[in-house]
Amino acid sequence: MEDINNQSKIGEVYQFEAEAAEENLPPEPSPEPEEEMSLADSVKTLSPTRLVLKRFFRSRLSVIGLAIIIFLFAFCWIGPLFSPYTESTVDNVTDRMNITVSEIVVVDETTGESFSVWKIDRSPMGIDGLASPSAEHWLGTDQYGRDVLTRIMYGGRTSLTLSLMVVILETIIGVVFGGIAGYFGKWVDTLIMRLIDIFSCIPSLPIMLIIGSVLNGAGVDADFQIYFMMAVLILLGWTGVARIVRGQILTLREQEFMVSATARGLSTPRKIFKHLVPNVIPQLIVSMTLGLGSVILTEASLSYMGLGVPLTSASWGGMINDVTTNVSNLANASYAQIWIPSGFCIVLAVLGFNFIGDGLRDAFDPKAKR
Amino acid sequence: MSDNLMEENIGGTASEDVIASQMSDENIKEEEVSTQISEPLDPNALLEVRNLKKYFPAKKDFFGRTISYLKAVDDLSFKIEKGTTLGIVGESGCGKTTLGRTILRLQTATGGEIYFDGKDINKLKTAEMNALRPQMQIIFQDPYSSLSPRMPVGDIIGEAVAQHKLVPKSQLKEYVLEVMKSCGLPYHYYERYPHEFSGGQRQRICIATALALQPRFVVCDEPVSALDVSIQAQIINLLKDMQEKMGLTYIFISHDLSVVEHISNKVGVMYLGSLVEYASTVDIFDNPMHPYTEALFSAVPIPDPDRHSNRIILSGDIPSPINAPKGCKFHTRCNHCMDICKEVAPKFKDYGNGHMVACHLYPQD
Amino acid sequence: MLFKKSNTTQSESSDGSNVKKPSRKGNAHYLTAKESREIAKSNARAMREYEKKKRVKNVDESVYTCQMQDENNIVEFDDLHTYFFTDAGVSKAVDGVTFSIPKGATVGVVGESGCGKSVTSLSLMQLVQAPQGQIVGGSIRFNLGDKAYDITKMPMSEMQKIRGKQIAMIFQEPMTSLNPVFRIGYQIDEMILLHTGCTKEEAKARSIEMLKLVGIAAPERVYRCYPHELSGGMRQRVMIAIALSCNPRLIIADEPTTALDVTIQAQILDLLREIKDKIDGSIMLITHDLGVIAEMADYVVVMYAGRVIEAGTTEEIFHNPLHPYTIGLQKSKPVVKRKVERLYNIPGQVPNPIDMPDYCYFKERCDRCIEKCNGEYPHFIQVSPTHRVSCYLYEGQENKGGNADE
Repeated sequence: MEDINNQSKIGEVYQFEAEAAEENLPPEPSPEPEEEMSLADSVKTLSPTRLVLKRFFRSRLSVIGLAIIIFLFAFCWIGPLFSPYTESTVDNVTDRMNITVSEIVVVDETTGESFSVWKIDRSPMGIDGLASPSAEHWLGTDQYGRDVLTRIMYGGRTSLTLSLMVVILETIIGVVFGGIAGYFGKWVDTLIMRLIDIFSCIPSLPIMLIIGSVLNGAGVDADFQIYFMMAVLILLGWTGVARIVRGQILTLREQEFMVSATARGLSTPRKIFKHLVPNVIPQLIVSMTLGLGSVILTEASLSYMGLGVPLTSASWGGMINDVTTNVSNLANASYAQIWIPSGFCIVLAVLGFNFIGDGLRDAFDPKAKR
Repeated sequence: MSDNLMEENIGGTASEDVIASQMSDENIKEEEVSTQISEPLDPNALLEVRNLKKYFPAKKDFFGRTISYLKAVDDLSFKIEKGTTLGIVGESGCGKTTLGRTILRLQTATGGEIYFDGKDINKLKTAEMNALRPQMQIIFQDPYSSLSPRMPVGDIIGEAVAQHKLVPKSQLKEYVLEVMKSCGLPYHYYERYPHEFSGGQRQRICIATALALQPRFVVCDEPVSALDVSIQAQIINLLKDMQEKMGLTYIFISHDLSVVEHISNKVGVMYLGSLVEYASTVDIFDNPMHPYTEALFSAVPIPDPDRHSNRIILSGDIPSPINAPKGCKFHTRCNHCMDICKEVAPKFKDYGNGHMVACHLYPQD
Repeated sequence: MLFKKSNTTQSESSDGSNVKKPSRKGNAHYLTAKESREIAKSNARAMREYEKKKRVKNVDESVYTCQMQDENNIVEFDDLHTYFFTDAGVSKAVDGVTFSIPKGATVGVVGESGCGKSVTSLSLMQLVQAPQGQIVGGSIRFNLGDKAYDITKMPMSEMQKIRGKQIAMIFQEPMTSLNPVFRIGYQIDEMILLHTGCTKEEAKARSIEMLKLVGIAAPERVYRCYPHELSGGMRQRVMIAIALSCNPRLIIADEPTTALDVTIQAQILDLLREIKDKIDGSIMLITHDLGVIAEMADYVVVMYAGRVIEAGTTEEIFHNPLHPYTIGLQKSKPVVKRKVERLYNIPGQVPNPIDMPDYCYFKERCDRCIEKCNGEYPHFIQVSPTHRVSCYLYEGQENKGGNADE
């Protein structure tokens, strides 16, 4: 035992610092523990991260969900690289010359390339519209002669990016408001909760329809309309997240570690961001993944009603919409090659996100047993 | 502002507390006549509590006005000398936990004064209170919920130290390791997470977390009740050692009489929010005066098959603190109940040597 | 600084001489992915095997009929092993437990959390949580009077006839062990109707009689109450009434008073004692409170890390404790009116029974270690006909008259 008095204190500090420096070196080769570990300590456990991963991968459904989502992302982002067509390449029937075509050059914002949009006379003779699946067009073409497979890939990009952005933004807003309501309570809570009540009273679909037609009437560019729609989605969607966060924080706030944090005089930001928020994150991740699925669905239905993504760029919902300009088209077998694959993609994406969400919920909850 | 909101909010919903504090004003006014001509503070006492009250609204009418209160702590007065331990004993629902938290202003008192080191902490501003917080710490019963689950042990112990700038930043880690060592925690626990530990180790971490702030006063709220017998002894010894080393003053709240007897210098027995008896440990265990204290002591099972105590079995259950019985609160279960007990509440009186009892069995004037 | 001046105290658990850094060794504490996968694989294999054995249908009665070693015993645990296949490895929660419960006696099982005392009782009820928890070896012989069954081999359908009727259980948490949506009366009636086949009126009469037996003053009123209307002590009385309603031969009381206040605990212990005389059954009392054991039990079994380390009559265990752990337990609990300056404490922690070494599990916490303790796990030494201890310190003190069947 060392008996350290005040004089040797400084010495000890140095000794310690020397050791602390040593610590940064790579681990010593001796794997043998120096002191005999007690029996209670000798048992190895799983690290927190691995525990979650293990529980996640134990469920087959969540693995399937993960595979689906990885596949979809690869399909949408890597797939187009291998496609000879772009989103709006129209396949011409070259041996028929009796069509009039006017070309408009458009610069694609994302890639910077300029490409052409063809304004085509509605003569079905001129383009290779509604072609059956073939070696050139694996899923055929749509009524405007565009390659369906390529459009599905591009449509996936739009749908996935949009829903990711919506979910992330609505989560941020939800965390801020829910956190404030839950932490401060009192009139702040009452105010925010009533606000949430009001927002959740608003029927989203009619509002979107109205806003859509207002925007159309005001002559807002079709490319911008989608941002308005997203804003509306976020505005109506954050309430769910806020409720989750508030509820979670209300329970956490009564936990003894929060009382202990108060007793130790920790500052409010520290209490919120170091103690409360990390404990809400698991629930947030779950709600975000589940939210992704539902936003994809909403986006699809909006596009289906012609309110969402502008017509020139593809989206899964929009592709179905293209078909149903005339309801009898749905019964027409030659249209099936367009709407079935994009519908299938929507189902896949929603299922995948839901599987992952469920898997994560079980993985994060230590009490969940199966 | 923000801290203030949070603080007042622990343990009650928003509106309840507003009402409770309004109510406290009325009460203080009422009380002023009788107690405000207060005697001077005892210079030896680190903590002095006078007429402390904590009421929770129990029932409200349609308009949100409170009809009845749950009197968790009802007119308590006591003081603790520096470096000593006051044991608070009582059954569940007697308000001992609320008492501990109210003393630390983790819950706002409904009425009464709490003098810590000569300052009435109920009157301190939030910033002043926060500056004082490191000196008054609390250790909880459940070591599982009192540690932030997503933080490594070293951070938990160090964060408040850093916040109050007790040691320079460069020495923080070293300081934390030193604290851990003195609380019997091996160094390699520094980077582990609380969920990896057993109850006893967690309770050590809790103690290290509290003691790292170099407090002068610690409320121990049933610190060993959730632990195994062999671990209980370790923790009790640790608490005693640290008291000697750091000159700590404890309030030790427990339902376990044997533990309280072992660690305390003075013992207060609580029943339905009030103290029924208060005396030095030796006095109270050798000569319990209140019938409830007597029954409580005799109910403790003794680990000796030959020593079957002549047990006083109390009939019935503890009444709800919302509708506490009139008169002496204990009269519904008391074996010596007289007519007067049902009508008049007995005075809490000193019967020599600082042995205070509230019971009609003893002369009231 | 306060914590710097005094490095001399608190030497028990940390050795001051090696000031070690919080090094990367902390990470050696975690399982690697490979180890974890191996554990998962072997667990899955083992669990599948045991589950398959359980699924066998139409087990003949002769398979699980057995012979009691002593007809006066109601239950005999014989080398019982119950393991849990956890993510961190195989946890040997019960690892070779042998003791018996005589007819009409109260046997107290003492130990700290995780010592396997509850798992022992759950094994007896076949209530170990499957598929992680499995009885992997040994037998539990249960005496039905005219015949005896080995519970470890019994199929679930047969077991259901024994549960509740022959063996009843009282749990620790009276708050959660009653179903909150049914009336008290219904919950007792249900049990009686299930096991006796009497009419509803008879069941009600019996229920009220039971409530009266457990000292409830207004049984008719309580019969119509919902659980939330009753206090903790009352609920525990109701739980006891339910347990008693079918005249069980054995009552397992798993920490029956731990969640209750001292004065209520006194009432319940009193009640249990009274009732045992009335119904002529045995009680297996599981608790960590030595005081409760001393008051209630005739025989005491002390468990540590999944094994019985000492067993004997209550007098023997309390007046002549032999195993250092038993002695330590008794010394570490403060006793009212027995003043000690400093409590004795057993250093270290209760071990987690995974990957246990083959030497006395208590070795590292023991202050009376001898050379031999490094050897294999000590066998039982029969110091008197009823008293046995598993410790090398008592080698050569065998009671010659005792039958050393270990």
